[in-house]
Amino acid sequence: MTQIKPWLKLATGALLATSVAFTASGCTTTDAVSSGDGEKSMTYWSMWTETEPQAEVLKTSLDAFQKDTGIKVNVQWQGRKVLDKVTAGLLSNDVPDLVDQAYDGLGPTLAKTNQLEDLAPVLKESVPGEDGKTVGDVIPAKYFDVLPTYGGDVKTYMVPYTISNVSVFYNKANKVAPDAPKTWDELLDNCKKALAADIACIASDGDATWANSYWFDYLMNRNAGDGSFAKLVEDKTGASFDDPAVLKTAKQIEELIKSGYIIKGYDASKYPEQQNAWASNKALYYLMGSWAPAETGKYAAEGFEYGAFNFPTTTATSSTANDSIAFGFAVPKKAKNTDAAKQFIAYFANKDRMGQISSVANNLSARPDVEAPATLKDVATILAENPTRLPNDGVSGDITDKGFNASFEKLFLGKLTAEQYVKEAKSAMVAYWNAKG
Amino acid sequence: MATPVLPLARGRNTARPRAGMSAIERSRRRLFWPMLAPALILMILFYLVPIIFAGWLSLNEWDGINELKWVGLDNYIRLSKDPVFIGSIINTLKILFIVGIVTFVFAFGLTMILRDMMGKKFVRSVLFFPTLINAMVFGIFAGFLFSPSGPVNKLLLLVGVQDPPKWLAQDNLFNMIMIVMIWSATGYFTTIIMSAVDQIPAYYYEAAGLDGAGPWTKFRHVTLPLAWDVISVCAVLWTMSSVKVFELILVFGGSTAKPPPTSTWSTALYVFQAAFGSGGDREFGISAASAIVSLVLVTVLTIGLRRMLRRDAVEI
Repeated sequence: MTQIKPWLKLATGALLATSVAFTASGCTTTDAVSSGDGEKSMTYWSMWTETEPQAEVLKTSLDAFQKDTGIKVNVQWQGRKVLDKVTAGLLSNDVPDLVDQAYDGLGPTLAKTNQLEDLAPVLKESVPGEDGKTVGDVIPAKYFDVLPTYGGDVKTYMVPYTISNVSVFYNKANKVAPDAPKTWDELLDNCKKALAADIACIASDGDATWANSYWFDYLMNRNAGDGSFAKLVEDKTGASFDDPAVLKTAKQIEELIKSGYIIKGYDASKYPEQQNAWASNKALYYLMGSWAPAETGKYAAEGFEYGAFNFPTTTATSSTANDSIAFGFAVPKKAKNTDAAKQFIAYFANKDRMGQISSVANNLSARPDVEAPATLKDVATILAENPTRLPNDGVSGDITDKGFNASFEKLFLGKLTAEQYVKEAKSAMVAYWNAKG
Repeated sequence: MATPVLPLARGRNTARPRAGMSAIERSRRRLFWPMLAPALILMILFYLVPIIFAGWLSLNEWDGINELKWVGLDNYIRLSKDPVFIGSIINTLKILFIVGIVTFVFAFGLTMILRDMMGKKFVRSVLFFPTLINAMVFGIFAGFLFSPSGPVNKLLLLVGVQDPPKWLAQDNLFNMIMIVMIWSATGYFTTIIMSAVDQIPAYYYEAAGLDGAGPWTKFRHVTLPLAWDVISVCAVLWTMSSVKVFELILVFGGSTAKPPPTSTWSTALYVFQAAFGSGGDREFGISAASAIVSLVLVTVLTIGLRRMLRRDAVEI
């Protein structure tokens, strides 16, 4: 038998080892952004994907910005999970100069840990193309005032460019109850009319607790004032649940269910089934974010005319605050080209550029002087005429996901009475805070 | 089946050649480490190091950005007080035992039927088919199939069921998830068990038949002992995969970007939610602690199961 030479064996072994090592590292890429021969550049990681209309709008402005200022923009269309990438990038100091997301993403993820630049100075910058007007002049202060700091040091950590809100949507062309109710009693009266006309009053998908809890959140706000929802769920002792306003809120929801005002089958449907049923005129009202018209457009009945009204008041002194959800730009502190990023924020605040959010992407822009898309005209009016608040008073999502939701689901699905709910929700919130340590 | 024992594995200093050995023996020993090292390095790098890091992380508080803060066993204490985590362990155990037992009963039943069936290869392919489909597809379609006015209820109405069950109601959600798991796992395990059963010579069954054995006796005294090794491997495979169930629950119970109701969470989902939950709060310490608890759970269960299923192998 031929002997294999010892060096050959060793070489084979070494070759195997290196080939495996190379295979393992094969996916490493070098994507460092080069700024070329000293030219200015900036990096933008977007919450949109490249094919979305919002990306189209931003692309147009980014191209114009590059042309006007000579600053090269490297864009990555990351999609909604963009902040996970930013968080990971912070560890290796590989962060974009500009990023965008909603306040409830930017806040708890980055502002809480003091990773974002203070953008208050940007509000004083003038908007290119609009003589004398500053960013702060064109974007209402209330969108900044309402931002929660989540325990971080910076208040103005984002500059909104598009606003969503939560209102009650309805078909303005409906014959059953064409007038929008202003008070809770008027809403209930219209519900009776709906039942008499053999349609449901309220559409809801039982599995979309995040949306159904808007009912509780708004009612609690109307019954007990601004900040009452946050106070309720952030109370570690659970004592806030003894406030009669909580029972009142739970009873109001119980009434909706017991009276059969919520669409049949809602407790066994998967979002967005009943949402589509609403658009085909099977229910009168739908409490939802202002994305509802865009999502239901192709299911809408013939002649459907999108309208919206602010959540009704329950007492003469009720708050009329309206939920706003701001999406906007932020600049990480560790970014290398923060000035260029801030320059673009001011550049995009221009009416024509930000206006495309409305005219091209059919969303509401953060500028009230931009004409709203036809389906969101009422929403724009609601936002302009009422004070602003945040859904769930801006409490962290973990509190609702792990503490508040489970017992609320039971109330909303008719498995608990109002009294049972108050008791169960109280102990669930106490257990949540107990586990939080 | 007897496992051949390699002389290499015996004693210390296995890699060092010794005098008086055959040339083949010597060259085998020389190649031992070079051949083993690549796999060993990868195992250490991609399995052992992350596990040790997770173990260390579980003793700290970390938001993924700032410095780690040592908290000792606090994360584990918090987990023990968290009703959502305890619920997710119960759900994981439900998946392991209820789904596991039903799946294996189905797999054995199908094995017995398929053994003598005409066209069994075709039927086996059909049974295996659900395994190829991503469970998420079913999760998405379920919303359409089982909706109150969906095809399933319409079919039931045709056969006279006026008040069909509320398939997608919160109470049924976890049961539906378990049914989908059984549906997609049965074909997989039937295929593996069938391949073991195919190796059993037909004359054992013929002899048993001549002795008057019915299908059950044949299964009990011929199929089960002769396929035992494969069955115990299947049980371990199931244990490990059941603890990792994640995407099906996420898609089945979650709507849009929100997490599913906590009543359906498994430990894997809890781990994910703690780290990347919709609230934006990143609790990597808690996440790591719950992952370590899951790891301990699966290790204990696997060892227990191996001991329970240990038997002397039967030589075919």
